[in-house]
Amino acid sequence: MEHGFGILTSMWVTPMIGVLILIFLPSRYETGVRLVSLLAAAITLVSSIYLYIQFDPRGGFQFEENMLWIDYFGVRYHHGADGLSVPLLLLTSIVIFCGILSSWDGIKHRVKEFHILMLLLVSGVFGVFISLDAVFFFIFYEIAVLPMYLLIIVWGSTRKEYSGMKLTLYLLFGSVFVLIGLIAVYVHTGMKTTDLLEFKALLAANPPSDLFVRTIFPMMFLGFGMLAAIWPFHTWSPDGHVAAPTAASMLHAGVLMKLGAFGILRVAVYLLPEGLRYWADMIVALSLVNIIYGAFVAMHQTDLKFVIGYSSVSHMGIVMFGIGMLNYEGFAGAAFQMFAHGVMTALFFACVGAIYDRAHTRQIHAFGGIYRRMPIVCGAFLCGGLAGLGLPGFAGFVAEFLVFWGAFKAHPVIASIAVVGLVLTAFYVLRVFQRAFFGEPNPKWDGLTDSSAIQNTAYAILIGTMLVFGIWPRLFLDIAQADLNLLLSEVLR
Amino acid sequence: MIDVAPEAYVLGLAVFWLIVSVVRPGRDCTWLAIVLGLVGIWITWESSFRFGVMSPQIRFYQAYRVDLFSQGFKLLLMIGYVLILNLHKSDRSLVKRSQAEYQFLLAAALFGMMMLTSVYDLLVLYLAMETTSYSLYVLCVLRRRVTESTEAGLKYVLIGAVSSAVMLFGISYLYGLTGTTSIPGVMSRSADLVNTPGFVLGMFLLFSGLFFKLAAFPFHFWAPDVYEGTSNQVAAYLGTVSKVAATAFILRVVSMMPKAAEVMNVALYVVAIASMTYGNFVAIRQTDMKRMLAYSGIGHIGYLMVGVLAAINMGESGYTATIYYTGMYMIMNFAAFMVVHACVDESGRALIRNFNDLYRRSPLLCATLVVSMFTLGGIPPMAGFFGKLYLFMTAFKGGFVWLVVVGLLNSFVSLYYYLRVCKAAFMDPPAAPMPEIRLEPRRAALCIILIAYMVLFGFFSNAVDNYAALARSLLGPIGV
Amino acid sequence: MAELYGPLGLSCLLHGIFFPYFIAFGVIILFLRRWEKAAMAVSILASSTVLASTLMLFARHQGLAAGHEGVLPAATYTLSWLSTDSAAFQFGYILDPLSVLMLIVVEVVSFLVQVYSIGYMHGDPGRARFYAYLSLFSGSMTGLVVSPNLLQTYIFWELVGLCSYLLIGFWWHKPEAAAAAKKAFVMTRFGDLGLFIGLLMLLHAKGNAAFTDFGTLGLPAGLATCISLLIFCGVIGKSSQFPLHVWLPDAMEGPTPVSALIHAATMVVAGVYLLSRSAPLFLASETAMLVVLSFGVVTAFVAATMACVQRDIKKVWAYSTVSQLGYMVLAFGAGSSQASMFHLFTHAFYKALLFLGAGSFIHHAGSNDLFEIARKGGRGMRITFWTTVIGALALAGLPPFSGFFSKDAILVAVKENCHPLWYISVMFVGFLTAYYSFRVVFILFRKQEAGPGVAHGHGGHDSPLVMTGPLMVLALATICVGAWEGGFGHYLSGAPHGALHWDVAIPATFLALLGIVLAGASFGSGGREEGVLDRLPVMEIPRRKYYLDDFYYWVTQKIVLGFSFLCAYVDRHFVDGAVNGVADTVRWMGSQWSKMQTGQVQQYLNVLILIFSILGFGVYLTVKF
Repeated sequence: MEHGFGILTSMWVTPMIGVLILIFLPSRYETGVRLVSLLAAAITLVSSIYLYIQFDPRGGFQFEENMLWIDYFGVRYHHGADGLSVPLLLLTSIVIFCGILSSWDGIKHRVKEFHILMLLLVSGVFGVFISLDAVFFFIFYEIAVLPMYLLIIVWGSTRKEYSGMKLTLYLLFGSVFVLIGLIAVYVHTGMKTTDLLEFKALLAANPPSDLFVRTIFPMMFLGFGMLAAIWPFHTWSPDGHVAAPTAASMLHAGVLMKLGAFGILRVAVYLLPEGLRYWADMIVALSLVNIIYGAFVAMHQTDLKFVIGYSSVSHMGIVMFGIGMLNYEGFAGAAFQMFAHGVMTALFFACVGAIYDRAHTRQIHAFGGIYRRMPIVCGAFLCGGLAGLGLPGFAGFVAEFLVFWGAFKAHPVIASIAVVGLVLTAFYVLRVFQRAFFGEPNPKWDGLTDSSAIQNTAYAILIGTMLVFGIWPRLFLDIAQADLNLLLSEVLR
Repeated sequence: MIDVAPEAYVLGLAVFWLIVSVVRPGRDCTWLAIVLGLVGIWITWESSFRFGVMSPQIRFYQAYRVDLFSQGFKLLLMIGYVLILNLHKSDRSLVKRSQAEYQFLLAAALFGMMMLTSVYDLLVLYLAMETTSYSLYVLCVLRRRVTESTEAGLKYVLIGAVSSAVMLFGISYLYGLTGTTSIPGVMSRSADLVNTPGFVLGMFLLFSGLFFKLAAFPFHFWAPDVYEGTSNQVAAYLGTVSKVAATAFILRVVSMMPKAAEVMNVALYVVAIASMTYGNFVAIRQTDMKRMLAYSGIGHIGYLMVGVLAAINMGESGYTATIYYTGMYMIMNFAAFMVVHACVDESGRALIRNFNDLYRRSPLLCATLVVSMFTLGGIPPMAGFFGKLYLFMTAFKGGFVWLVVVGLLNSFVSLYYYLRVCKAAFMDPPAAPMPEIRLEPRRAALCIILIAYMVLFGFFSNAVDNYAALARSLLGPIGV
Repeated sequence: MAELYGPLGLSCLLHGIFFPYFIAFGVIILFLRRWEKAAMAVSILASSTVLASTLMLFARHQGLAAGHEGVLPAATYTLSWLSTDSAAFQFGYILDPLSVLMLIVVEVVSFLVQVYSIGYMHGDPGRARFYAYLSLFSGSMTGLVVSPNLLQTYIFWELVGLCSYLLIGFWWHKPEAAAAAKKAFVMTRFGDLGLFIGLLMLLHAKGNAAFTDFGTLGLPAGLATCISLLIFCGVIGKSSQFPLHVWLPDAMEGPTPVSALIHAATMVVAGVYLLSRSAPLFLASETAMLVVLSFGVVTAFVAATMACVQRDIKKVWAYSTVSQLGYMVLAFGAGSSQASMFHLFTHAFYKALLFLGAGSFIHHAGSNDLFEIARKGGRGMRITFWTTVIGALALAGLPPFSGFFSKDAILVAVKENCHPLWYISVMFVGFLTAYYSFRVVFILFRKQEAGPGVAHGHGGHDSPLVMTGPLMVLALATICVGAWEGGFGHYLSGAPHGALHWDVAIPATFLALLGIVLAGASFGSGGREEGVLDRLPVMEIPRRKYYLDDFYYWVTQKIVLGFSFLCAYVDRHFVDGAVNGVADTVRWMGSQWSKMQTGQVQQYLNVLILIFSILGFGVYLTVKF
């Protein structure tokens, strides 16, 4: 069972090394700082593509690293990637890479600290995706959440202190429940190990009572669900998105929210599949509210980032919705939606960031006709918007299609209601285009310039990813299929 | 008699400083104190682990017990003492002529605390408590030119006196019922007495005295005022070392009469919840860093009480978790106090906004502060996280599920004010430009060591393992 | 069936039809945004490649069909795109007479429009973008046509919707264009919702959405009705049937070639095409057919009345398009998908012709207003004017123009299969059609007015050849394709060559003539701007668009946005309010409790003793003595 360090360790260690280098790099070498962090991101990008290619689609945990870490608690340094996490690793590295590119010019003060925190955060994210040990999972989870606080309050805007604190506390509040759930499982399994796989085996050997499953599962679900902005625990997310600086928003909406959904699948559902079965209807109901309500609230927003923030609430609802359907289509759609939404929303925030950096406002009604000055940014935003409203060709469509198909198999009526969310999304997304980008050019914005080549690279990568996965969804599904089916069979057993 | 060498040494130290205080009262003797303290650590280590206390030794007419448990705590106390010495800023913090007095009182208090870990008789307990307390009372008023300091000292004396009285009253009950003051004697007779009102009252009053030392709710009133009023070093001393000693004694009492201690379950339960909730909630509203630390300390005592409860009901793992957490708490709280001490002028108040922009003034101190806040908040992978995790896991196993829930929620609430401090340090602009802080190499090194300890602890599996094993090994002699 | 077609040849041709447009789009949008001429060249090159491939395909397919008994069966060339344990989706091509015919329409009109646009968009700074979008549209439309299953159809269905959006809003700086684009997208998407649900339902029921299997699904009647109607929802949106037709007239904000291509000839008929594609499904349900029929008739009627009162030439043709789409749909509802398809086929040419003609007028006059165009010398543009007349004749359904034949087929179907009331209504719509089309002709025929702003002698100039050329080609097609009715039917469905039904054709022609006479009487002479019909008080209703726009405005502004306001309010004040409330409560409790810390020792001791006593009492109570 002992495997040494391998490529998965390098995933989270690479950004950490970047952090170490940055700590000792004098902060006046700003370009150097950016290059170092870009290099770290690039290495993880290459590694994650390598993982993606090397991954055996027959599923199971691969590239495993398994060592005893803390004997006393039974903590193991256990990493492994399966069909669920490999695409998310890819997502993370794409988003961080593009995030660093998009904030190349935007971040002007404390550049070094900014990149240190970004890399720290991303290291935590990678860690969460690959951890197969509850303690390590939790540690990485917190590492992924905390730097966001400083990122928001230092480099943010719009009520940043309030939002930063709200976001951080909310997420940590969620993690309290996760921790309670994990402790409960740990205690139930005899306090011998914290390894998720061994948890699983021990739980199978010594099945917990129904009461246990029914109370602990929702705790973990809600704990992680808060990070995935499940209604009514979503209000941190728009506030946080709005306040955070561009790259942090990208990472946050693009990747961090997925940690929640991933945690639900990896920990809550994996350990207590019966809990999902028991609570599925509740999850469906909540996520339905997410989808519809999120879209309606988004419609009413006047700040570009708020619109996107609430659209994320709506879109993450689709992820939960898929999970609640208890069938392969739903699961696959949910997993795919995590990926698709991550890329899409990162694109959104990259564009809004570019606009904000130049115009210093994000109020929709303050704009008008800025397409004339910023065709590329607006075009990229348009792509994001179209992906968001489920336009075929982009990855989001396949994901939503799968989710709704799964939903239709399980709950036809509810699925039909949820589909209305698609029209609502179209409505508010297009309203934004109409109001802000199209229409009579406002002379006030004549001085705006279009995005730089560096930012365009980021857009191109993100749009390209959406297109590639949208046109050839098997690229994703073949990877995830086996493991999702495995998970599902546990739930349905 | 090698086993009581630490106490002997500390006593000698106290006498030495007393003499110095008479002969050369105004002399700055920080370095000498540190060196002597380090020698003390060496002696404690040697006496405890090198030669080893092979079997528990009962000394001084059944009044004093030396065993691995007590020696381990003595070592911890000794380390804490040396850490506190490191805080000493000779030039401005204290009344100049009291430099040596200060050293004397510190050593005297340490002596009392060391006794506390070895107490085997209720009267010795009282003696130890008073030795500690009286030294601390005086220490509290040694701050220079600050009237609050005097006021704080007075409050401390008054409340301390009440508590001592209460405790003595409790001891008298136990004595009256059992006819002995020897703790094993009391315990051996407790079997029939466990459920008599007198015994319960006696136990309860006895514990109350200890709650006072720990500043657990509702015996916490002195803490915020005293921390605020007294000099930073003394506050640190109160906030770290003295709590270790009191915890040690509680654990010892509990270990000797696990059955009898169960009568304390409810009280401990209530005290734990009340301390956690009260401490953390009130800490949110504090603008003074030392008051905040005082309240956060009250909260942490709540967590420790969870550990004590687990110890009573769960045995070994409960003890281990509590010991583990105590050690962690001492270090992390010390780190916080150290930053306070370094940043804030002794004569001024330690308002949180005085920490603004610490990041520019001294990155190292800022890092220490942030790390210590995170550790106190129990954020992984900091050392404090493992301590808390262990504590709560054990309590959960013992069936104190609600206690765990409340505890975790509280530790979540506490993050609010810890993060606020981080925010101030990292980004808030200072009201007036403040000079850079230059750390002496000694303290810079200490900062780095503390950061490394708190951050890397969790990542080095052996550290957690060994530490837990050490804590567990201490239990052997006390019969758990 | 693939053996019949030969393993490779035809599918290769299909590749040649499917890919070039997308390649052109990608090349233009990525590299040629600043090189307009190159962009045009690339786009037209793609277009001609596709057109050539289509014609070759058509020829070879015809050849095969000629040597085959009955109708040629469909062949599909697919690869697995998405599969789950309960269903698998293929992505690829379907090759059968229906798709080939549709391809002809799409590619011919696309090609002509692209050529035409060289002239029309001359000097527009966004030409490269325009051609990129046109390419994307044509590619998507092609994809829709060759789609072998409903999912792929849905995909391209959405993509053509996107292109429609982009092209309507092509002049994004005009607020009306931006609004119209949004409206078009949201309205059609609203309909697509039904299609999407229908698709899901079909998948759920059968795990399969391939068109070739539609005949053998064997669904229960209720489910078949349900699915059919849901699919029809999509048709209502896309083919702008009543009551979702309101987006199409607004869509005229786009450049005129776009109107011709997307909003007349190709995209809007996708719904009709889809109906024919899923005919087996609809045929299984009488209810569905009746619904389709009634929606078609209502649409045809409503739109025709509105066409009668428009002053904007493009709006007239837009409503006319809606009306004609109604014809196609009702033809399908009447049971003759062949008539429906044939009308689609003929309509595509003459309506494209009319729109491109309108574009030519507008290009010249700089205004959309009929009377303004006439004032600026519309009739002096001879080619444009006379081709428009040919188009109008076809639209009015006069022999021997193509519209006559296709309408004849529709009327026959309605007469034979439906209640006489439907027949009468459709006849009446025919009258209206003739009226409004010739209203336009007669107005345009007016003499050029001399006046300020109108240069003398300018009126005689027609548009350049790149614009008139396509007009002439289309006019030729309008004249000719009608005669192909028999061959069309045979090719499409293997039906025997039919003859004209004079019992239908004569009254229809008579009514059309009546309409023309009425139009002539109203607008032929004199400078009147109001005809006989305009003076009817009841025409206020069509003038106000049947109050539908008001209704939708009310729905979006009051209901949707109202609800959105409600949700936002709840979110801010209740959901988020609760969060802040909890935080505030904690803080409040903190400050309340910190009041215990008064700094007065006496009080400390009092409180201590009090709590202490309570605690002691609690211990006392809980211990069993």
